[in-house]
Amino acid sequence: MKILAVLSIVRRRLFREQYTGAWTLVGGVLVLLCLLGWSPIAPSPWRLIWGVMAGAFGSWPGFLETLTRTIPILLCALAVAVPARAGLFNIGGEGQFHCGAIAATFVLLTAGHLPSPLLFSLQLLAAVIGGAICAAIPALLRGRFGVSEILTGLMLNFVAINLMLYLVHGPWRDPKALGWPYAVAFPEEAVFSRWRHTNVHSGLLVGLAAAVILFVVFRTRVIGATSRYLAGNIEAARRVGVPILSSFVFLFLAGGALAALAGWGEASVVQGRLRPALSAGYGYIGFLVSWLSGHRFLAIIPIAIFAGGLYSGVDTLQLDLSLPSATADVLIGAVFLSFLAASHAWIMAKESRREKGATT
Amino acid sequence: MSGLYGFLELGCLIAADSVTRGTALAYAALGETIAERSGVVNLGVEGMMLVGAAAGVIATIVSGSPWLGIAAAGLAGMALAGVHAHFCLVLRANQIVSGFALTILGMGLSGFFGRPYVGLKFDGLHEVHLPILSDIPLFGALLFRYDLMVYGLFLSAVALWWLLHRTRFGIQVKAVGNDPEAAFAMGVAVHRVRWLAVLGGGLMSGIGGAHLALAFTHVWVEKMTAGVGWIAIGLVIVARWAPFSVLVLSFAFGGLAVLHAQLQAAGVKVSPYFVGMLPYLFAIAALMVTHLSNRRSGMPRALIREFRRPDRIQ
Repeated sequence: MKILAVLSIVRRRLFREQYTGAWTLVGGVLVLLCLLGWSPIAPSPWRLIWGVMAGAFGSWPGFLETLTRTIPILLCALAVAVPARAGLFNIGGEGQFHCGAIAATFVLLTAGHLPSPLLFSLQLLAAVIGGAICAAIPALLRGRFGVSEILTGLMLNFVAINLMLYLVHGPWRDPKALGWPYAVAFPEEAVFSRWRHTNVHSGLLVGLAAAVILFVVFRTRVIGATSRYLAGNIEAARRVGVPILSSFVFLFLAGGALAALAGWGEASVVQGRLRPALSAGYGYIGFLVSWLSGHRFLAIIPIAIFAGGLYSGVDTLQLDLSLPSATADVLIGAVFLSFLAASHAWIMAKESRREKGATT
Repeated sequence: MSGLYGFLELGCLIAADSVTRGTALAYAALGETIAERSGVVNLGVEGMMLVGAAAGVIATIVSGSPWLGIAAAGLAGMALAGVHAHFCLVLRANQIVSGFALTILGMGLSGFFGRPYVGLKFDGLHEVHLPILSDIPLFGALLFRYDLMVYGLFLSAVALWWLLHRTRFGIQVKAVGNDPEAAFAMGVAVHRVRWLAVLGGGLMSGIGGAHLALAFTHVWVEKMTAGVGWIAIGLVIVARWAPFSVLVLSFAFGGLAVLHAQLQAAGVKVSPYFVGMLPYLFAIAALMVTHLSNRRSGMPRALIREFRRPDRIQ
């Protein structure tokens, strides 16, 4: 009987509610290790983690690949973070990403003969407008009719992807592409400039600058306060005279424009042209990254680099250990879930510390 | 007369084909319906279907029995849904975030573990031809030439309707999905009901994935669901969270694919990507129409809203 009593005390001490997040982490790691141990093709976990990190950050070409992957993730994460400041979910990042690429290609096809600087600005403008239109739909529906922006945004993603596939398989297919579903290649002079013939392009600077500017703007301008009101309580915000519809639309337009720039950069520089498999799910990864950062603009930067590193690291590892590309998805999914668990553990620890402070 | 008969026969064949094509979608959408009725959105349908398909194929190849494959698929889908439930209900993570992470994880796990089985032949489920019934003109093809999972689908749609509208548990699910605080005040264990609903959703999604691999394509390919899971989420909206509408609409979308193939064969060129856009456009339109006409969209009022017990300060 005594043993049982001791066990129950131990159980109550160990499995307190504050520790659920921590135990989830432990359990998740154990389950994953068991699964990996069972698989015939899996390398040892240390080899895996070490290989990914070394591949992503251990060599110069690897790091450049990491930065290349970081650009769309960073911009898409910012696209999520801006509306999220007002408590809105921008799940349509993937769709806005594709809309940006589609709009820029449209300019290329209709006005490709223009001199490069003009073509560049027109493409930039078109991409921004394309992404903004795609983002405006959920924002308008939410602000005007109260339709969930989560569901409409999600659905628009697949509309945009299918539209892109239709265009490259149909009317926009380049006749010189030997039957491949490719659109015309972007001219090198009229897109984001590469850094020394690598795939790292000036979109990175745009992303970093956008993060800093957004940080400053949301600190000092009225929009920061407005979105805090909206995130807190819409009814209260209405009472103090916050223009709800226009704020929603404005925040979503800004987000859509950022995601669209990511799409244009990826299509024009990294892939060279509009073609299927344009995005490796960057819109969704961006959403997760923004969420992990707590929608803090500056915190997004390191987390986006980390996420980019996971992708590029697994890419190199794939070649070394002949792993399937799905390994990247397993790692990303596991990392994000562990972040979620860890953040719960962290919040719980903070709260219990505060409670202790309050009682003493 | 024979022209009319031929026309009817073709119609019946197309209808039967739509049912087969729509089955996986219907299973997943029915599963999502249960989960969403309890107020929990699970965006991981695609991941759960893939994991179900991979587990189904692996278990079928290892054990030789497709029935064990289906069981494994259901369990795998349920395991992944359990992760979602744990994160949303216990750790109070955001449902959307957890759902996306689940999709990515499911895609990864199925691709990773299914790798050695890509393209392998196996004996999955086949259509059952009942000796006399399936030879009845017209109706034989329409009603009696399916694999058993299709009949299972009809059974589970009826069972789900019964569960939601005629049982205590169903009333609890709906109450929890509409107003968890009131349900809690009435003594419903909100989180337990949501746990069960999410797990049930995972079970159905996994089985849907298994139907795709075991009965439809008869082969495992990485990312073989190709967006069916996302269509399921949109379809639930169009069907206004009602099991029978989900069933009918799934067959309609299955029919769209069949019709597209028929048109293609007849020389009418319609881009498959246009057809691919339709379910999502319908979903957006359905959301708008119900909101504009002030009719109830059928959407559970506490969808995507987390519940905190008012009697515990956390």
